[in-house]
Amino acid sequence: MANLLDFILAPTLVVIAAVSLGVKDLFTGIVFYILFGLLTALAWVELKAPDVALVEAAIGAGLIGALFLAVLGRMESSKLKVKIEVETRSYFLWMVTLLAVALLIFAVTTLSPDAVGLSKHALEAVKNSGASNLTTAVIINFRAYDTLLELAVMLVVTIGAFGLHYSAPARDGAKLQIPEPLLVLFLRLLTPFMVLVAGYLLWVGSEAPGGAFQAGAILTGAGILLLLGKVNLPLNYMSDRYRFATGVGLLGFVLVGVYTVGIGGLFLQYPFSMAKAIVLAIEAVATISIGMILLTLFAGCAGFLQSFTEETKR
Amino acid sequence: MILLDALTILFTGIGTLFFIASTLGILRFPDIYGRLHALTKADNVGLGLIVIGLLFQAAEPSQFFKLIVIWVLVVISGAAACFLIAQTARNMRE
Repeated sequence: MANLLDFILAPTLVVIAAVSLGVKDLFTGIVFYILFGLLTALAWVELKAPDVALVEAAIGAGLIGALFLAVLGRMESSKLKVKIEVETRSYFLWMVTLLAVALLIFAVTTLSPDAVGLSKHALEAVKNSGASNLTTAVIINFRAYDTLLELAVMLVVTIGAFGLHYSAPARDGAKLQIPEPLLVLFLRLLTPFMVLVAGYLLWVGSEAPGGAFQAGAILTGAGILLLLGKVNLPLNYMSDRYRFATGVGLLGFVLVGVYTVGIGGLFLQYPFSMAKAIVLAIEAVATISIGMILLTLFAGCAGFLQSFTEETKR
Repeated sequence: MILLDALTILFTGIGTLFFIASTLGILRFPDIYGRLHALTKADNVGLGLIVIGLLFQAAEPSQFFKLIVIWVLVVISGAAACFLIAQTARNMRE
């Protein structure tokens, strides 16, 4: 049922998106983008998709916001002045956008209201999937191959982000600063709790909203807070541990696929008896990797990513 | 049940008033310190009252504790963030 909140929320989202894109000041644009992410999360809750809402709030609003602010801070502190011209009067862009909107409206309005799509099959199969939360069943089991490739893409992006290591000496001065005592206390209280919440989201993901992406994003959030609190995290991508943690999600996923082929099934076709254990195992390794991948992206943009081998250290 | 619902409406209503008042404060107060003052009142008292209101609706103990934990976390992060923003503002002015 469309209620009053929806009628306020939907136009507000459009207005905030327009402000975020159109405003001249980049900082204001970022703030509005974060606001847009939070309200989008609220919209997902309204659409009864709490899993997506969690990801949108954690990644769309929190992490991307931190990423943008980090990049902006570096742009302003670097001697290289980057001039951003926002082109809002391009007729071509307007044409493409309007065409896309028209196609979307066409696609939605031509959907039969009685069409159930794949939901009937999905609901029937969920009891054998190893997860009672439908979203988790879809992501880790029904379309496991898509998720595997998503992890692969994220890993490739991260390897690209390795190139951002210390490319500007933005943090050299910051290392000498004494961390704020209140911030240190705050981090001591919050960090264990965030790790606990990540573990909780991972565990509960099989039967309630949660899962690897949400848990990983929480871990990343904890990492970002530690970095901003001037805790010297060993973010050295030359180290084997760092690389293993970043790639273990994809590795685990592929190993599970090889295993299912080995016992006579198809690639990533989980046997019913082991489905729950497999789903949880994949979620666990994916959580670590997603946390590391997202943290690497932030650390790269904010100038925290290190690169040294044992020789160069000495 | 009706008593519990009435208490929920009472507490969340007062909490909402705090949020409205603090929003007004953010819009009207002249400087960043005043605005922070208004903002943290919404976080601490407004959210606290709304959480108290929602406690009457908690069906099981786990929900009860989760609500309290949410409030405590928001209070802690609100206090820390407020302090950091105020300090940054003061350092930038000097």
